[in-house]
Amino acid sequence: MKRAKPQEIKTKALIIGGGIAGLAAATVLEDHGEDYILVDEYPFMGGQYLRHREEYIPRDTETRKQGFALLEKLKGKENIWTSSLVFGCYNGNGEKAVAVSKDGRVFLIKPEKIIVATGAREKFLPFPGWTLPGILSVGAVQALVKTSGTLPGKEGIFAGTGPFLLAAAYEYEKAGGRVLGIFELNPLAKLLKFLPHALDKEKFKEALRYLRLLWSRMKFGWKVERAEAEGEKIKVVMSKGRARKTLVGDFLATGYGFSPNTEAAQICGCEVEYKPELGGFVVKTGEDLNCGDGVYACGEVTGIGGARKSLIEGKIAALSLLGKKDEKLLNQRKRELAFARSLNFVFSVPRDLWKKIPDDTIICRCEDVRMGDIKKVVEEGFSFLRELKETTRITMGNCQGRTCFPIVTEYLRAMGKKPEPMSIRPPLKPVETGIFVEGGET
Amino acid sequence: MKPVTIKVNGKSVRAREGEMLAAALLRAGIRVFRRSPQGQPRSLFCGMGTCFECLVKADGRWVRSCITPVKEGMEVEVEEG
Ligand SMILES: Cc1cc2nc3c(=O)[nH]c(=O)nc-3n(C[C@H](O)[C@H](O)[C@H](O)COP(=O)(O)OP(=O)(O)OC[C@H]3O[C@@H](n4cnc5c(N)ncnc54)[C@H](O)[C@@H]3O)c2cc1C
Ligand code: FES
Repeated sequence: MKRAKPQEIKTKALIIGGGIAGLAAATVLEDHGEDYILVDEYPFMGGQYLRHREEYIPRDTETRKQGFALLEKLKGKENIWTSSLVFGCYNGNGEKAVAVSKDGRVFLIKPEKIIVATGAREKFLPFPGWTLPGILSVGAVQALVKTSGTLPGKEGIFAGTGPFLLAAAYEYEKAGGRVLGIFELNPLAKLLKFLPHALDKEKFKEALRYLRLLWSRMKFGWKVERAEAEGEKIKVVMSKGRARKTLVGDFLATGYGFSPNTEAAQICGCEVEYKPELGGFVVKTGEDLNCGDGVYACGEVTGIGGARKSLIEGKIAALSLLGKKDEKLLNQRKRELAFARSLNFVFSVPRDLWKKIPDDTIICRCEDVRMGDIKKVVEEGFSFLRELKETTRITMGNCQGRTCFPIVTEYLRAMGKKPEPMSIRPPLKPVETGIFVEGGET
Repeated sequence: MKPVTIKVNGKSVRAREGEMLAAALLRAGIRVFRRSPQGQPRSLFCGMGTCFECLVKADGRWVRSCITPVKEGMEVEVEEG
C-alpha cells in the first residue's frame, strides 16, 4: 500500500523523552515562552519515575512532588505528544529532520535544536532459565503495579543488585503481593562501607522506609544459579559460595542496575563514551550538557544517577539551549554525579561473574544466541564487535541489542577487551513502527 | 479504571480501560505471548518497551503489549502453542 508523504513540522526545540528530565526541560522552555514539541513513545508522560495511575500517586519525597507538579503543569498541552516514537534523524542542508511515528503515521519534525532525554533501561546478569515466562525484570513488576494495578503473582522472589530491587519489592508488597526474599548480589560489608557516605537525608529516609518492611527478608551476597519452571511456578536455585538455597514462587524479578538509552542521541549525531562508574556507554556532553551541533542531552542518558539528577539536568539543558547558565544548578549536578558514582560502584557486578555465565545460557533473547556461541568466537580471537555480530547474530534481533549489548560489553571487558560502542542506524525499533518490515504494517 | 472487553484469539477477555495490554493478558491467565526462533515460550520481560518479548498483534498491527493501552473491542492475536 502506498504511504502518504510525511507531514513536516518546524519548531524551535524538540525534546525526545518525557521522563522527569524531559518534563523539567519542557517547563523551562514553557516559562521562557519558547516554542517546542515534546515527544515520548509511551502512551503517558512521566517516564519511569512518574508512571503512576491517577488514583495512585505517592508524593513521598521532594523530588516526586516536584515531578508530579511538572506533569500537572504540562498536562493536556497540544505540543506534548504521547505514543510517539523517534526512529530516525536525517541531516540535510545544515538542518536536522527527526522522524517520529505516531498512530501508524510518520511526521518529520525540523527543530532548530534538540534535547535528548531518553532515560535508561535495566541491565541483566543472565543465568540458565532467565527467558522463562514468570521471570521478569524488576522494572516490569513495578510497571505492572504502578501503571496497570496488576500483580504478576501472589508470591515473588527478587534477585539482583541495587536499591531499585528494594523499592520495587516494597511497592509490590504494598499493593498486596508477598515478597518471599530479596537476594542482593553484593555483600553487606561492601554496602555498609560505602553507602553511608552516599546517602543524603531524602534518600536515607526512603531507604529506611523500605528496610523497615523488608529487612528480615533481605539476604546479601547471593547469586542466581539457575531457574526452572515448576508447573505454573518458578523454582530458583540461589548460591553463596558453596551454600545453595532453593525457593519456589509465582515469579522471579531480576535486575542489575541501569544502562543509558543512548540510541536516539547517537542517531542525532552525539558521541558516546564508556563510563562504567556511570552505568556503561553514556552520551558525551560538556558541563552545560551540550553535545554540539544543536543537540543537548540530560537525565539518565548522560549517566545513571536517579530521578533528582535527571530533574536538575533537564533544567540545565533547557537553560543552555536558551544560552543561559545557573551556577547553583551546576553545583547541584556535581553533587548528584558524585552520588551516582558511588552508587554505581557499590552496586556493580563483580567482573569474574560475567566470565562464569554457563555456556548454555541464552544471551541474545531475540535470536536465541547462547554464551557458548559468543565464547567460541571470542576464543578464536575476534577483534571487532562487527565480527561477533556477523558470526553470532547478537544485537541483530528485534530489540537491536538493547538487552544483550550491555551484557556482551561487560563480558568482553571481563575478558580484557576494550568496550566498543555499537553503531546505530535508523530506524530505531523497526518492528513497532512496522514501516520498513515485511509483513508489518500496511 | 473503567471495565472494557477485548478479544484475544477470538475469545472475550475482560480488561480495564487504560491499563497496558500485557497486564490484561496476564490477568486472563495467558502466560505465553510468543515463541522465540528456537520455539521457546516467551512472555512479558522488561515491561518498558525495550526487549520486544511481549510482541503481539493488536487490531492488525504488531505492538509491544507492555506499552500499549487496551481499548474497548481491541482484537488481539497471541501466538499459542
Ligand atoms: C524500569 C525502571 C524503573 C525505575 N524506577 C525508579 C523508581 O522507582 N525510583 C527512582 O528513583 N528511579 C527509578 N528508575 C531510575 C530512573 O531512570 C530515574 O529515576 C528517572 O526515571 C530518570 O528520568 P529520565 O527522564 O532521565 O528518564 P526516563 O524516566 O526513563 O524517561 C525517558 C523517556 O524517554 C522516552 N523515550 C526513550 N526513547 C525514545 C524514543 N526513541 N522516542 C520517544 N521517546 C523515547 C521513554 O519512553 C521515557 O518515557 C527506574 C529506571 C528504570 C529503567
Ligand atoms: S516486555 Fe519488553 S518490550 Fe514489552
